[in-house]
Amino acid sequence: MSLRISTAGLHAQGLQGLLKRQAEVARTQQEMVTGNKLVRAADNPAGAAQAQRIDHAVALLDGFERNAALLQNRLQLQESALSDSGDLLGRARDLAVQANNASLSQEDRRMVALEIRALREEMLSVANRQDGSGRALFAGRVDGVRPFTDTAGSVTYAGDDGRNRLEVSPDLPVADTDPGSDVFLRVRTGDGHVRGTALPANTGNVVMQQTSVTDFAAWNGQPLRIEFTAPDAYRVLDAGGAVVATGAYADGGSIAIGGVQARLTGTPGVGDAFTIGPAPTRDVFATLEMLADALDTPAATAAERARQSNLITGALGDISTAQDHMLALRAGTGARLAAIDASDESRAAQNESLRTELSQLRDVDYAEAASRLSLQLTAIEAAQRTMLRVQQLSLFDRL
Amino acid sequence: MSGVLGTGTSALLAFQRALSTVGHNVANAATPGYSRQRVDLASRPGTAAANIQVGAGVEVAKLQRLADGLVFARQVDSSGELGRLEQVATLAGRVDKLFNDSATSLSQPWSAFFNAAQGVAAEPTSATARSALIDGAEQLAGRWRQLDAQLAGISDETNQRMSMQVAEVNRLSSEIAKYNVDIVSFGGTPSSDLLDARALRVDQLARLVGAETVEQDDGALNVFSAGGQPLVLGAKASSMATVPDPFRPDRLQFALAGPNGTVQLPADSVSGEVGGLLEFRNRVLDPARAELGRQATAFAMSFNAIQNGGIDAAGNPGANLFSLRPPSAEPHVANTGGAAITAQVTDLATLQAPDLVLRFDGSAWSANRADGGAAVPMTGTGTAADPLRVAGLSLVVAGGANAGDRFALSPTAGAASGLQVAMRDPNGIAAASPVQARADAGNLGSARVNTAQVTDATAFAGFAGATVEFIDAGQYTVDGAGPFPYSPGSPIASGGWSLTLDGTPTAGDTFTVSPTPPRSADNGNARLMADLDAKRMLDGGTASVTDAMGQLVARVGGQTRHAELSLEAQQAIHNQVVAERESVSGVNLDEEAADLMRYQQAYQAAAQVIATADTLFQSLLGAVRR
Repeated sequence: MSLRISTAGLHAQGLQGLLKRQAEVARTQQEMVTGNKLVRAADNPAGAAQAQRIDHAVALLDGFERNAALLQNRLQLQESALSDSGDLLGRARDLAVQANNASLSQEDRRMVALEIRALREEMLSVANRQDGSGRALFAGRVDGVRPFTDTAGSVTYAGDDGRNRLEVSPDLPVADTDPGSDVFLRVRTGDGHVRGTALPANTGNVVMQQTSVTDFAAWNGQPLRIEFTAPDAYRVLDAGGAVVATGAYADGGSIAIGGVQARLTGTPGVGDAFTIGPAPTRDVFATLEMLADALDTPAATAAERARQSNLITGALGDISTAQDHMLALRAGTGARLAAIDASDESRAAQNESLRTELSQLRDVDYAEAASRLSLQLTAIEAAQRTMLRVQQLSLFDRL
Repeated sequence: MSGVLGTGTSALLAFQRALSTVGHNVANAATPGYSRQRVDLASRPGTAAANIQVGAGVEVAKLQRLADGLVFARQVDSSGELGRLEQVATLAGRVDKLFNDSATSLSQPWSAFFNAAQGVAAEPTSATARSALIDGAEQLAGRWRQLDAQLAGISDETNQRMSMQVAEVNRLSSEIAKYNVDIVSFGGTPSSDLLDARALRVDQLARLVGAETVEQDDGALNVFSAGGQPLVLGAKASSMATVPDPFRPDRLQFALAGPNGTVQLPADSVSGEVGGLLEFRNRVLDPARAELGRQATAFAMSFNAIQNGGIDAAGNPGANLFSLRPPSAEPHVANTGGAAITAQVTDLATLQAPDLVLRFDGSAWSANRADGGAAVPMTGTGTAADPLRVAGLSLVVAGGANAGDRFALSPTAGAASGLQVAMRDPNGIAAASPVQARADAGNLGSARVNTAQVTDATAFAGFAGATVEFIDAGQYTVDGAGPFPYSPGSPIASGGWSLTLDGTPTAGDTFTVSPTPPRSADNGNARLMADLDAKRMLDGGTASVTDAMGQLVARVGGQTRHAELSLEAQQAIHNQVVAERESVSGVNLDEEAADLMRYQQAYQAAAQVIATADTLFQSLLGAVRR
């Protein structure tokens, strides 16, 4: 059935079509001007919600990036501080080896001691370094303090044991700088496990050259005491004072007992003794201070000389263990820096994929929009023309 | 002869009438609601003469109004639906734009706030970072308030629109009633133009409230709203009104004004624009506002909880960063008891946004959804010791309620408007965890502190410090109590705190656990703040506030899309109906031009008939004169 068309209806129909086309053109124009095809959530409700979430995730990535830059700066500073500390310890070790030479005069040793004290000062300044924004590197979680203070030869620590963790990527926390107590204070001595000490009252000139754990299974961690019963005989006592071994001593020979081996040189006096026990921790400043003190002490007699030599040898072991400690911390720092580098890449990848997704959801495809616009413009022109033409048709014109 | 003259005259008169009808049609070609008219011509039977019946010309049998009652009924129906959908789609589109436009939505300040929180986690002692977080909080709270104010503005606008529309409804109803009177007074032959005017008003009325019509035998038209509410009965028009909501005086409801006062009508009793307004308010605006408030409540409360659980720069427990208005429980105006209800949010995981109605039956309280009336489970008796618990709130009833007393409970609606930053001191940001641990300097083992944290704030309250001492690598004591077994990596917990260690402890190693002192650079609590955006705390722990924001955008967008699609479909239907009406009732000028020519020619021919009769008569006179 063909509908009868009224003139007003014809007009309204043309007008409606024209208005609708115009709305479409306006819409496309808005898309092209703003570059955003998701102006209203109604166009794609799920997509709009997703776009908002992605916006949030992208915005947060900036924060992670800032965190990563900050941590990277602090950890790089920590790494160079650790490397400097290691160098200082190495220099101190070289000096100690040099000073242990019997040919050196007391005056020479005093000079060495002076230099070691200077190294200690330098070490203190390394430990008190800041990160460039006013925060100490090695104060743990305590703010606004100078972490290490030297008072009358002993160093006190004002920081704490805390270590912040910070997200450098979603769900990837990386630890901040190590607390100063871990870096400079709780440093193992001896060989890292066991440390031998000469008794100060020793009368002979025996020097304990080295003490180490050779068999961890056999070592029970209890202190031992090597006592010379004769210039060529020793006995070993346990913590309770019971004799656990006896043996003959030869200069330069080793005494092995309970998984621990000690190498001694020189001639003992009867009753001279050495204690061997689990290595305690000591701060590096005290280790250097003790070394300097030992070098400062005049050593005239053979016994005094042996005592000094024992102290220097002990300090040598302590220092090389401290060097190992610094190296281990550097390895840890390096691992964290590597994690930050990796997070940079993963963040960049994440950013890229999020932005791609966002772009797919929201960005206008200009080629498509332009061709759509030209089509819509053609349609609007056609609508205008037909309307004009149809309006011109009137029988009244012919009357 | 006089027959021919009479016939010619009748034709002249009839065609004159026809021509003036064409003229009327042409004149009203653009008049809204006009139905074209047509004269129905009928031949006039003549008188019998010698068994031959010669017709006596033409007469106008009827002036016909070309209209189809069924098409009209469909048009009225469609108008109501169109009005409703137009209203919903337009208003929902505005809400949609508010939530989706980055200039008005929460998304930018939300991200900025959490970036600032990250900044505090990165540099907990930086005054700049802390100030940035306070600024971020101000902006976020401000945006939340703005968004809520915008929604409240739309709500006010619906009130105003409804008042205007109701006035229009009353005007149209009384006009229809008046036309009814006029049309009935014409008896069986009412003026076509009166009918058109009435139909036009019925259509306009339908657009406002939806309409169904029933024509009476006397020609009067009864009009009912889409829900069956009589608007016009014969000569009598109902008076519609707006009344303040009995729970919330600031919002208007659609009502019928009767002789005994006004009666609020249910929302489904009207369609059209008024129905669309009510539907928009009930289904889009109110839920969106309540949900916005729910998100604000969840965010502010959980952020405050984190603040409270941390230590600020001065070493004190953190104070609330945000202040929030408590949920409102408004009494019904008709309540006879003196009860008042105070509500507070106690459980974010079960917090529900939709408004509820609480009812006291004389012995117990019950809760129902304000929209739809579905029952909502509620426990408790309402005393301070055993508060009513519903939708994540706890309610304490003070004073005595009488049976039948009702309260409107808005768990979260409007909460966003009360979101304020309560603390503006950057040092008040509680970035630090409240507990710290320290290894003793003389420890021989390799164990060092990994983390120390508070696991139970209540048990931790008043903590002054504790010492963990290892008897050996596998056992420890806490402040002398114990020993407790220790396995590497597992936490050491006591009194609401927990401590984890790296490495292996040996006998005699001690660790000191203590409250965090002032000026701590700890960022443990700031990290919790920065993670809050992803913390799933809503809907039973399945959705974060960020998720809920996305869901809200999607929901409002979906509702808008739905309304727009329905509107598009309805518009197509309406166009179809209008085209049908136009095809029956619309004026086609070409057709009128053709009719004009036809009737003009016929008129000229009739005039010619009279001229011929005159000639005949003159001939006869001439013959007689000679």
